[in-house]
Amino acid sequence: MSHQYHAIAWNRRKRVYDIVLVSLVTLYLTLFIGVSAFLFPYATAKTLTIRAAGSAAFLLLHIVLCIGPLCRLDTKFLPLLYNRRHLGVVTFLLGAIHSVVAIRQFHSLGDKDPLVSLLTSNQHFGSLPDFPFQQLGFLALMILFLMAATSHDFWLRNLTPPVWKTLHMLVYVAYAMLVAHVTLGLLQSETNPLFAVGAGVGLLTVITLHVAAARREAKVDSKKLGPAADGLVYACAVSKIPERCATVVSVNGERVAIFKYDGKISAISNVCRHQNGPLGEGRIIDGCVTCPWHGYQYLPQDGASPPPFTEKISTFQTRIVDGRIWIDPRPNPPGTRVEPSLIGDSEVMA
Amino acid sequence: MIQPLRKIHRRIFFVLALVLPALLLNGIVFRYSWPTANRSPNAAARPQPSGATP
Repeated sequence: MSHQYHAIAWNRRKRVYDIVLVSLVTLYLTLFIGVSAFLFPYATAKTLTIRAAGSAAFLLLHIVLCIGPLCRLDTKFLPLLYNRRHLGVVTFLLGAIHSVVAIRQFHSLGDKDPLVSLLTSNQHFGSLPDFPFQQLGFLALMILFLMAATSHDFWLRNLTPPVWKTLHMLVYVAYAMLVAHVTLGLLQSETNPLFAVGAGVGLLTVITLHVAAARREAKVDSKKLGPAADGLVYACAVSKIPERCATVVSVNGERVAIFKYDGKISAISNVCRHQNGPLGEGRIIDGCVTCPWHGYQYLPQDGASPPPFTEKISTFQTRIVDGRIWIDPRPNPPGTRVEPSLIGDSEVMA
Repeated sequence: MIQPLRKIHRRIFFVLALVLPALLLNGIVFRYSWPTANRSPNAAARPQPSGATP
C-alpha cells in the first residue's frame, strides 16, 4: 500500500514471487528447448523458440486465469494472487517473443511488410482448417499488451476502478482468441493426440474453476437477510463471527463485511477500493481491516484508510440485540464515522 | 459497484463454456489429417508409379 507511485513498489514478497516466477519460466523454456532439440533434431532454433515461448505464454495464461477462482474457493491460494500482475506481464512478454520470432520466420522474406503480410496473406475466413489463426494470435497479443501496459496503480486510479476492471476483463476475449489460435493453428498440423488432450484439459480446468467459484459466490448473494425492524435487517449472530474477522452478508445486492474486534462490531462495504478485493475475507491487523489481496487497510469505524492514505469505503449502522446483529441496509457515504456496537460480556466470550 | 461486474463475469463464462469446447472439438473433427497409428507398408501391394496419388 503506497500513497506515491513507483514503477514497482518492491518488497520482500514481490521479490520472492518474481524470483520464483522467473526461475520456473527459465526452467520450462530450457527443458522445452532441450527436450525438443533431442526429439526433433531437424527443428531450427527459431522454430524451437516459437514453440517454447508460445506454449509457455499459453500455459501461464491458464495459471493467471485459474488464480482468481482458486482464491475464491480456498484462501490458501491467496499468495499467488498477491503479484498476479507480474504473471500477466510475463505472459505478454513470452507471447511477444513468440509473435516477433514467428513473424520474422514466416512473414519477413516476401516483398510485403511483415505486419501487412501477417494480416492479409491468409483470407480463408470461411474454412475452419484453413482459418487465418495467426491474426487471432496477433489480436490477442494486442489485448495482452493493453493489459500489461495498464497493470499499475497509476492507471487503476486514473482510469477509475470500473473502467480499469472492464478493460482487464478483456483477458477473457484474449483467452478465447488464443484457444482458437491454438486449435486452428497448432492442432491442425500437429496430430499427436497429446496436444489436443492438453488443450482440452486446460480449457476444462479454467471453465470448471470459474463455474465452481461463480456458484459459490451466487450462494452468498442469494442469501436473504432476516425480517426488517425499525429499518434494520437481521444479519447474523455475534457468536458466528470469529474475533478480528468478519462475516459477509448481502444487503440490497451489495456485500457488507461485519467485523468483530475488541468487544465491538462494525460494518463496512466488502469491496476494497484498490481492486475490489473481498475485505470480509481479511483480518483486523494493527486496528485496521486489511484486504487479503494486496494489504490495503481501512479503519473499521469510519471505512477510511489511515493517513497519509486517502481511500474510503461505505460504512453501515449496526445494533446488537440479544446477541444478534441488526444492520441498516442503507450505506453511509464513504468515510462516514459510525460508533461501533458494543458486545455484552457473555457475547464477547461466545 | 461489484455486482454488475460479477454478472458480466458470469455471463462471459457461460458463453465461453459453450463456445470454446465446441470450437476445440470442431477444430479437431474438421482438420484435414487424423492421428493414425504407424502401419508397416504392405509388401504385397504393387509399387505405384512415381508421382501417382494413392
